Amino acid sequence: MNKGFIESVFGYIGGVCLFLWTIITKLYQVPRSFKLIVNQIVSMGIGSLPIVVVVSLFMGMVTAYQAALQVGGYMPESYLGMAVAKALMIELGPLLTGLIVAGRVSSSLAAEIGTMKVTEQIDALESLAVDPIRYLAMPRFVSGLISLPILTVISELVGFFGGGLCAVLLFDIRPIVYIEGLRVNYFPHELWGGLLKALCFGFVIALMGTYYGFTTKGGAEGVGKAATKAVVSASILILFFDFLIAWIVF
Amino acid sequence: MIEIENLYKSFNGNDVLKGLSLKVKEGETTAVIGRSGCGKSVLLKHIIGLLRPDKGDVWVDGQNVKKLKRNELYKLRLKMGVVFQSSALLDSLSVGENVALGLTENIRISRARVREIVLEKLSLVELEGVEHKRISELSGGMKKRVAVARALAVNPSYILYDEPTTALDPITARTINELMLSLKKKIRITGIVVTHDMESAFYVADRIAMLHDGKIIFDGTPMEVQTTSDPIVQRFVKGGGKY
Ligand SMILES: Nc1ncnc2c1ncn2[C@@H]1O[C@H](COP(=O)(O)OP(=O)(O)OP(=O)(O)O)[C@@H](O)[C@H]1O
Ligand SMILES: [Mg+2]
Repeated sequence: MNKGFIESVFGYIGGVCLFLWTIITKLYQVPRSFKLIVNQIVSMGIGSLPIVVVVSLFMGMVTAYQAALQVGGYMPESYLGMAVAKALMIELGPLLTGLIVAGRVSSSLAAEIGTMKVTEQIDALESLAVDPIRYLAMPRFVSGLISLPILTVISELVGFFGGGLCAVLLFDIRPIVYIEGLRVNYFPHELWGGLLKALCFGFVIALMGTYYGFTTKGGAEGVGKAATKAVVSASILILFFDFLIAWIVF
Repeated sequence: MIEIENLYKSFNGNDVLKGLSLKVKEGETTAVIGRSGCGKSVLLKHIIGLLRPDKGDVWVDGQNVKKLKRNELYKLRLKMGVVFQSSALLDSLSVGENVALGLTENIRISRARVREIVLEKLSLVELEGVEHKRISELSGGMKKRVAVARALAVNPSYILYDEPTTALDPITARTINELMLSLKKKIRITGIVVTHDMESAFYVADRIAMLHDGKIIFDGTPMEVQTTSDPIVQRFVKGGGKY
């Protein structure tokens, strides 16, 4: 590793941290930007809902199917519900929701803001005495923090339902037995740890999307690059935080 | 009054402005002419405090732009309307919302009043019945007009145009020139027009300044521009040739 590389890595981290800090200093203006935040939650959260629901449904079904297939003969029937619930809460719910939303939202955030950057719309905001970080970045950031945990809970519910369908239809397990599985070996920190992950993923998705948007240079080509970089870095950071939180919480 | 003193700016070793000085008097429209890429947009961005000078100062109404805190700078910007080269309308908002943006985000003001102002400014630029349209539905000339209306929404004392007529057909360009002239007469606004369109400069300007090699090399009335013996200015005005 040469010196230039290390310098550029620290330069990058410093740049992201500085950007994050400018967003944080705008958080006190949340009440004033309420409408903007709600709009973002609608486009981020509601917009991502269909794909999250479809993916979660199948994910729950596959999880139940494999669990039943692998250990079906050896374990009590109520353990199937437990296995599905745990897999979803601890890992699959937050991670898949995070990766789906990263692909969908962080790229579109970067492209949207990047386009505004290269077409002088950000300069225009400044010239109208509207702070672009307060007007564009902060609402998207807050909305990411709110949307991801909510989407994750929905994903987990839908996934559990999908697993139930599979259990009931394919393995003749009574619905009540499957649902009772939720209570077997339940530890609250599994739910909260998963939601903490979701919060982190929302943070990462919004931060990477807005950061690459605001640092876009050049024309349409720069916008495309920004979108790609946002998705790639958000996905990598999501996997990193997934491991980090697993390590700390569990 | 806008006063620019000895302004220097370079980007990664590319010296764009090298000691530029310029005075813009109250009530006058000054055209800054110069070749593509000579730093006209960079100059405008210094006036509204979007770029920080490496050296030198920009004074607007006695305030030194680079010394202002963020909220002071924002207050100052409300005195200046900017029409960007690419119009730079927010395409996520409607025409009316674009015009209203500077008002709704900065001043406590009733919806009815905002609507009133939006319609007033749109009619000032001779656009009617477009406030609900999306930006993508507008032609280039209409976008320019909306951008002018947006710049005027907060009743600024200055308006800065960045190449208002380039990328427009001659007839539309002509109507934009007429608009700039009529605004000057109707609301007595002080203007800076950055352009390489000489016809436009002669049409609207009280003074014409030429930006060349990072400096203002000539500053005079349109009449003086036409009679000057300065070879660089002459070449630019007549068009063509190398300088
Ligand atoms: N943010 C920036 N970073 C780096 N270089 C810049 C930046 N802004 C402008 N430049 C450079 O400064 C020079 C002048 O640019 P500017 O946009 O002011 O030209 P212009 O006179 O407005 O030209 P045009 O008539 O084409 O609009 C160019 O060489 C450009 O590459
Ligand atoms: Mg320019």
